Amino acid sequence: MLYTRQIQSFIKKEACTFTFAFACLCLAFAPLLLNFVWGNHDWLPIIQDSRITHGLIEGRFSQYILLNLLLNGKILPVFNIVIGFFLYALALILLCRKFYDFDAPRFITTVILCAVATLPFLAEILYFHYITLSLLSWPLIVVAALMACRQASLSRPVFFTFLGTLLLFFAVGGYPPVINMFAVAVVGRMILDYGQGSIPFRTVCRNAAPYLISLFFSLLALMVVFFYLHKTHRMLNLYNSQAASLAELFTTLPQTLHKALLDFITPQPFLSLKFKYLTSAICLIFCIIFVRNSRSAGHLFFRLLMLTALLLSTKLSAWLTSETADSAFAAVDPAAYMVRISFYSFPALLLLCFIYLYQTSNTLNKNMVFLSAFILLAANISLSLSFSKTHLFGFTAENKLLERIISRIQEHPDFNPQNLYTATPAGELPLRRKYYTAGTKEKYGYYTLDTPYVRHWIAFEYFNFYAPKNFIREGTAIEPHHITKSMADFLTSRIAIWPSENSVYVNGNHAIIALSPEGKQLLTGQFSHINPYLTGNNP
Amino acid sequence: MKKILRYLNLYPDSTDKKAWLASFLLLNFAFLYHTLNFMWGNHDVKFIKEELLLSSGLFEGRFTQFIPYRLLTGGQILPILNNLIGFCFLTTALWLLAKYWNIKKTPASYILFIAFFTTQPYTLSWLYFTFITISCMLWALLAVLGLYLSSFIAASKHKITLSFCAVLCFYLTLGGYPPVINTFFVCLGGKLVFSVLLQHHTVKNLWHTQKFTLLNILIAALLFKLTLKIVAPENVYNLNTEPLAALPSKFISVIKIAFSQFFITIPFMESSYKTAVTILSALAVAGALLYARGLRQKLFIGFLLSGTILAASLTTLLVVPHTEYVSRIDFFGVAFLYAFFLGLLLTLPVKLSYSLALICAPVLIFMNILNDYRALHTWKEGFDAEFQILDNITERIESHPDFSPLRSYRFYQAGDISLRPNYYQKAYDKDDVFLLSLPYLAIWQGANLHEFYAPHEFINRNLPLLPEDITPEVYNFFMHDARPWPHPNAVFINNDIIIVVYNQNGLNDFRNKLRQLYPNLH
Repeated sequence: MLYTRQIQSFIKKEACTFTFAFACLCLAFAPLLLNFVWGNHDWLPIIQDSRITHGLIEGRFSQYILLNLLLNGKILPVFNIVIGFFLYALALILLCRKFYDFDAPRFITTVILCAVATLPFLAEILYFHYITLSLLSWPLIVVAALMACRQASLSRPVFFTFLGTLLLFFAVGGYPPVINMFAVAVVGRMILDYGQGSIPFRTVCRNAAPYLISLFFSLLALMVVFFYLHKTHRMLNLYNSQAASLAELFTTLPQTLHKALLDFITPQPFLSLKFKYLTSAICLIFCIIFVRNSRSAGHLFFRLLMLTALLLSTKLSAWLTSETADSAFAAVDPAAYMVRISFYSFPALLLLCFIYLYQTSNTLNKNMVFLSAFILLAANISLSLSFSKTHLFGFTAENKLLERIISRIQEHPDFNPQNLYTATPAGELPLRRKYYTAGTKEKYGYYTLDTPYVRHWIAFEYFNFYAPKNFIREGTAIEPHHITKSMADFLTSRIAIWPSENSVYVNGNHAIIALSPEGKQLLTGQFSHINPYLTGNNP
Repeated sequence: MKKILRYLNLYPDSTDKKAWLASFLLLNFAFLYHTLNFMWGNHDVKFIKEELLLSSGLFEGRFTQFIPYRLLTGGQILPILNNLIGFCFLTTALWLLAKYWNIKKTPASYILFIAFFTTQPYTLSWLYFTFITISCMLWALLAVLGLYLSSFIAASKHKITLSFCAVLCFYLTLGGYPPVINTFFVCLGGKLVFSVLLQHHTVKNLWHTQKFTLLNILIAALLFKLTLKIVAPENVYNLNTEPLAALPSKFISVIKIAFSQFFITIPFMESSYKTAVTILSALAVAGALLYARGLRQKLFIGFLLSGTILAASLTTLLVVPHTEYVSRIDFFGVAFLYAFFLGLLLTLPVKLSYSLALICAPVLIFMNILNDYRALHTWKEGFDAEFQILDNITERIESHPDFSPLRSYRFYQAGDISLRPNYYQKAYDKDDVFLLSLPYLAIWQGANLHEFYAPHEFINRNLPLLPEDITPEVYNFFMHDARPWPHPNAVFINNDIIIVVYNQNGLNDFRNKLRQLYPNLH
């Protein structure tokens, strides 16, 4: 009854703020809400339901639980994102009011929350529909874990710490980098407590114990699950799934802190230099005021220590994992700069900065906080809509190209609609970048800009998507015994890149499409050593 | 900020807030189909893909045109937000106009007044080009703000500050879209009528209060002309002004145009709609004349009303190109005139007048929205149809045996295809290119359009067709074999050039050029 009354009062008090934050989120990504634009892993999940076990291959055992509970495993246009936004907005308002204990006039809270909710780090989360809902729901689970741990220092410590651990374990089981949000919020809470000056550092650390216990045991449990899944061959050895050794942790600490600092000023697609400078300025002013408020050398030391911990928290997942697995992929999309990982640290960090600055400022500075939140909100909406537009145009352009490729295959004189083909696309043609004017010094942006919607290894998914009858089978490999003389002739001499007439080869069993010079090179390179045998000129 | 707004009597009370929100929602509903379907083309193609620069409008003397885009969206044309920001400015402009004219302040009056103006199909003309939607709706706001501030100067202690702000407003709007001058004078004319009728101002009073408005407009106009001298734009059609000597003779024809505007139909504003707004205008004129006291005031009101009507065609008087019955020009003139007439009916302190306004305005708003949706339905079908042709041409180019994406071709588009008219069957007196007949696949945007969705960049933007491209083979092909789309000979490709023939007129023009340039090959 007590909780019911508290919940009712919370809803009554926060409904307006929540509605605005939710509405701003919907506005910022409206083109993606109104147009069903899906990413390259989504072709099959859009048609088929996602089962609860689908995430095990990456060790993400809880990834599809909410999707199955709420939408029966289906990816539904509009609904999928709207539910995600709803849960995310709820998470932020709980974090702000119930964890950071922010108390300010409703208008101020609303603008700050809207600015934090619409941060364009969210953009990458919307690329893959099949995980959008779960990725947007983890912040709520993390905030629930934080609140449980906070309760542990007030009453029933074992029960609430265990509850916090369970909730955090559930979240890291879906996407391990959510620990960044947990860590940023915990350090943030410590900063807010210590920043008041009335609570000694020792008490602050003692209060943090339930959080650290939860974090430790949830990660330990995750490692056990990973071990079991590896042992039963249900999980692949992918990037971000290998923990760093203790020695590695020591050696990579300075590097991680350096990267964390650099991330504040490294522009990326849709996170322009101006945006980075604005967010960095807010964080920098927060740091200066926090440090300036210290009353003794001891205070100063503890405050600097907390700021370092805060900085490390933003890259905690990158620090704890080893990037050796799948390192080629890690080179184009390094964990320290992944936008979808920043999504779990920067909103909580900026919210903390706004709250601290607002609470410790005079009227003039309070106005500055409000103004900077308002400018950030406007910049966020503009950048997010720019992402949506680029996403929409890229998707349209690649789908138009796909239609032309399919019609070229099906118009080929050797094409037989009764046959099932192995399609081998040589290369890819990502087109999103065509619709984006890059700013100065921008780096990375693999999922926000560069990855294509049609990946070469899942040809059967997109070629069959709109076809009246499946005509492509799973798999793209050309078996040596399937190579005919005409195919060998095509592969070794005639092959040209799209849209040349010789970019498409079709026989009764195979369809080969050379899309890019790199793809063509890679494909023909595989056959060059058997070239003489294939063409019949064997010595 | 609160102090300044209070001083200017602009701090919104609950009536203002309710009226603004309701009108904004109505406006969004009227153009919802456009907001949800991102339609662009013609001038927009390059800007949609890249971004608008501050200098993008300099070539035609519109030196402030893209300041709002740079400030608000970083030069990006953003789906949804483009309309939302524009509508926000437009609603605010009309709310400010209601305050400037002292329209009877009730939620109903304000909502009807604002929504009637904003939902008129004239607004559509600024949605066709997405690259100027925000700017042109902001100009309406700044124009009214300039007038509003100017009207405060006479009674204010801060004359210089207010004058400076007003001049800045006028100057920015003139630098963005000069035909906004119609708005200045229609609104000023309206203000004079309201002042005489309701506040019983004499000519002397009017001069005392409104001389600053005229002075500010004059200063802004002089600064505008001076800036044009500095910017030195290209010799484009829309900067040709009539010499002073030609104005008296043109004045007679402009009078005819100004009054015929009430009857001339254009697409999506057919005879029934025009009749309805003309009845509204006639009722307002009759109401004003009947309400005026004595013959002298009646004559004076008649004179001011005629002047206000003429002001809606001021641009037509001042410039060489034909601007009569053009929806985007009329947005800044005729649309404000209609709003003025509705405002008169709403504000005259006669019960019958108010009742008539309460009957007419909802009917007209309904007709506006109906016309808007018919237009948007036509636009969407036209947009899809034209882009489908673009897809088919792209496929034809890609499948051509002589095409290689690795080459850089010189490109020429002969003619264009406008398909919006195919989806509109009603009769009208004058065509309006922006509302109906202008194509999305503009002839001069061919290179940008054909590369828009294509995976490769294969067009050389630096060079048009060269003399050596027209070999005897090319010449003969276009003189004898070429046919408009979708004939197989509509697309010509060799190692150097790509030529696409969209329609017979384009082909004929191209043939004429070839005949003139290469008489020896004939």
